[in-house]
Parts: sequence; C-alpha cells; structure tokens
Amino acid sequence: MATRIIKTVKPSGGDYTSLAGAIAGEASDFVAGDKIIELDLYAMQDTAQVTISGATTDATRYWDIVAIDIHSGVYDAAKWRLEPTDVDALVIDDEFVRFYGPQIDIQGPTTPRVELYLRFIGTPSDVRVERFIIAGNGANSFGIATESGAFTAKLGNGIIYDCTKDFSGGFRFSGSGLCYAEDLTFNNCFYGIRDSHGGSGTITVKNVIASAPTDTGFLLDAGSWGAGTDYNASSDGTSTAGTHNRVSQTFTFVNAGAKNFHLAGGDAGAKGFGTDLSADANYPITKDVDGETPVTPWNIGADQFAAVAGLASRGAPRSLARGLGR
Amino acid sequence: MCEILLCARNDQLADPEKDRRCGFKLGHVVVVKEDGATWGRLESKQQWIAEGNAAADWPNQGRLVIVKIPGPTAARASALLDEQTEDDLGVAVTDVFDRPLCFRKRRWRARLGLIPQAFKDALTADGEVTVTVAQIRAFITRFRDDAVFAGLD
Repeated sequence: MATRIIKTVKPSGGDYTSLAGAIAGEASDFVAGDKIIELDLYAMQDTAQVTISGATTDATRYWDIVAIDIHSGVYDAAKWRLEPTDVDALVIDDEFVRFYGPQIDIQGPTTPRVELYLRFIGTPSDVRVERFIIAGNGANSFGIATESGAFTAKLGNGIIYDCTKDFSGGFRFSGSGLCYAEDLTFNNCFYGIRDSHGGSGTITVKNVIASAPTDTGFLLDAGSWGAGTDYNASSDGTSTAGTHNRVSQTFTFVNAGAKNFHLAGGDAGAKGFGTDLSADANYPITKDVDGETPVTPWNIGADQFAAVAGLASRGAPRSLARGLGR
Repeated sequence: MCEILLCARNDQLADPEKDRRCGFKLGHVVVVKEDGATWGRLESKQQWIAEGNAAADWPNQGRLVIVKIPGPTAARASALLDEQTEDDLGVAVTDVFDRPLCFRKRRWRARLGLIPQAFKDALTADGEVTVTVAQIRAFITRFRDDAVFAGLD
C-alpha cells in the first residue's frame, strides 16, 4: 500500500504558504515513490495561480488535496480559498488528482479566464473535484472548462455562479474526455452545462440545477449526452437526456442575493426530485456540498437535506472534513 | 524588493510533450511575493532552520530556492510566472476556446546554472540569495530564444 505523506499549506507555520508552492515542492514520481501526497489546506486567501502538474501518478498514488478549513456550502472568506488576480485559477494537468473543498474566485478578470480548467490530463486518469464553490465575476468568467484529451473526470457537489462569459460560462465540456457531473448547482451563468464534446467525449449529467442561465440551461451541440444522464432541472425550457428532467422551474434558495444556494425548505423546483446517487455505478456520492448525508428522496443540485439535523452540520469540524464524500 | 521561489531541479516526465508543458525545470519561477514575505519551512531553508531543524536535513535541498531582488515589486516579477503560449518559432498556440494555450510550462527561466559561483554557493548553503537586478538581469532569459527579461528594470 502506498505511503500517505501529509504536508500543510498555511499562511504561516506550515510546510508551504501557497498551494502552488506545495505542488512545486512535492511534484515527483509518486508511482516510483509509492506514495500519496496529501496537501492539507488551512484557512487563508491563496493568491497564487495553481497548476496541478509535474507528478507521475496512478490510481493508487495520487494528489489528495483537502481543504481542512472548509466552507459550509456558501463561499466563506474565513476558509481556504483560491483567489488569484486575472489568471486562470485552478488548472489540472496531472492524471490522478482528488481535490476536496476548494473555493475559487478569480479577482478582476480583464480577459476571459477559467476558474477550473481540466487541461492536459491524459489517459488513464481519474480526476475528482468535489464539494467546491466557484464564484464567478461576470462576463470574463468561464467557470469550468475542459481541453481536448481523453481524460476521466468526476465533478460532484459543486456550486457555480456568476460565470457569464458568452458561449462558455458555466461548464463547457469539450474534447474527448469522459466526465461525470453530479449534484451541481449553477446560478446566473451563461450556460448551466454545454456539451460540445468532440471525438469520443462523453459527459454524464445527473442531479444538476441550471438556475437563471443568461443564455441556456442545458445545451447539446451534437451527438448525445452520456448514458444515464437524467434528473436535471432548469429554470428555462432546456433539459438533458432522460425522462425525469424538470424544465421551467422556479428554484427557491435560502438567500440567492447573498450567494447562499442551499435549497429552502419550501422549494418546489428541485427538492425531492433527484435520484439517489449513493450507489451510482460510475460515480457514487454519499455527501452533499455541506458534507451532509442525503436522505431519500434526494434533491436535484448540490444541496441535500441531512438524515438527522446537525449530525453532519454545515461547517463540519475538521476531523470530519477529511474523507467525507470520498 | 520581491522574493521569488524558484525550482532548482530538472524533472523529467515520460511523455516529451507532457514534459515540456507540465514538468518542473531548473529556473522555473513558482511563486512571487513582496519583500519580507512569510515562507513555509519547506519553501525556505532559513525558515526550516529557524524552527530548530538541522540545515542538512532540509527536505527540499536541491529542489526549491529563493532569490530576493531589491527594487522591483512582485507585480513586476509576476510575468515570470507566465506560461509560454507560443511555439519555439513564436507562433501563438490557442486552446479550443481560442485562448492562449500553454506550449511550455514557463516562458522565462532563471539560468541558475550560469549565475556566478558565489550565488550558487549561497543557494546551496542557505537556500536563498539576495541579488540586485543588475546582477541577475542577464540570467533571466526566454526559453525559446534566450532573450533577456527586461521586466525587472
């Protein structure tokens, strides 16, 4: 079994003071070294652009990056957050990466910038970004983008808002990769998800809300959505493949004006209309964006309601943060 | 003054294209900070020592170094973080969104193998060195044609 090596990223008193520094310091041949590199992120504003690259990884020896001081489903300036200025924020090039709990907000983009960019990932690969929040900044914010390449990626429990770059904002899936997008909430983005895959690219979309898109909630350029795509909801008239989608819905969030996209108890657009993904064959999910265990029936979107109120409360303690949902 | 965290090693990835785009190379700039920045114990050998550890045990010996340059701000040095988004003939490379795309992990490099021996010795012994713009200027060059970086002037 691979040795897990833990390094810390803190504003002071840690191994590194930025995630970018930690990547550069720790990148190596993880396979030859038979190791998992875990980078624990503590509360801070990290202003250095991050490119996760330079390591040789495989399915059992990989980057495992964990926001120990993690948000509670609402962007939190008191937790770890990636906030570089006018550059792409988080770029992933390595093949086996797990990133749990990032908050991403590019500052002052003056030209189109990508908040989360899956770029030179090859095959085989397994990139997972979970329990994330992307706070866009309007017309120059892409949200999530993929470059050509036969990658495999899994994006779960994410909230993405205010990414209104035309023809790209939200999540534009391109290339020949295989992507599973589950339990996501988009609000005020150009798209929710646009599938403009090329070659053999496939994106499977489940339990995704596309709320208040500035253009289109769900858009398929050509071909078809991935097998199993279903249980998605939009506020416009668009949908994905599947027979359980909901269109032209009104979603009620706890406080959308304050960027709190938890579903309100009285929501009638997504609450209880999702599918249970806890045993999904390709990408099982057992926690929501808050780290809570969902109850049946599941909601569509990133927010579920917990089995027992407060059991895994929003703002779960550090001891619970590591490993949740993985 | 700015402080620059630099890669002090040449990694080699198996795939040549991936190696060019993603591999850490000698002289790659990793992070740029303002003067007096706080560094972690695995970024700064001096921080490692200040915390009571033996210099000889520093885990990132030969992997990371810090160069401190009085005068230019971190903002002026930040261009050293740029990826090379043109090929080696200078032709722009773009992604599927018609945005600049990485051809090489960095456009610029610090030629740490060519700097004066005293600076090399300081980097080896202390993990950091303080130099003037004039002293370092000729050794920060563009990968593809060795043009000198003038952004710190």
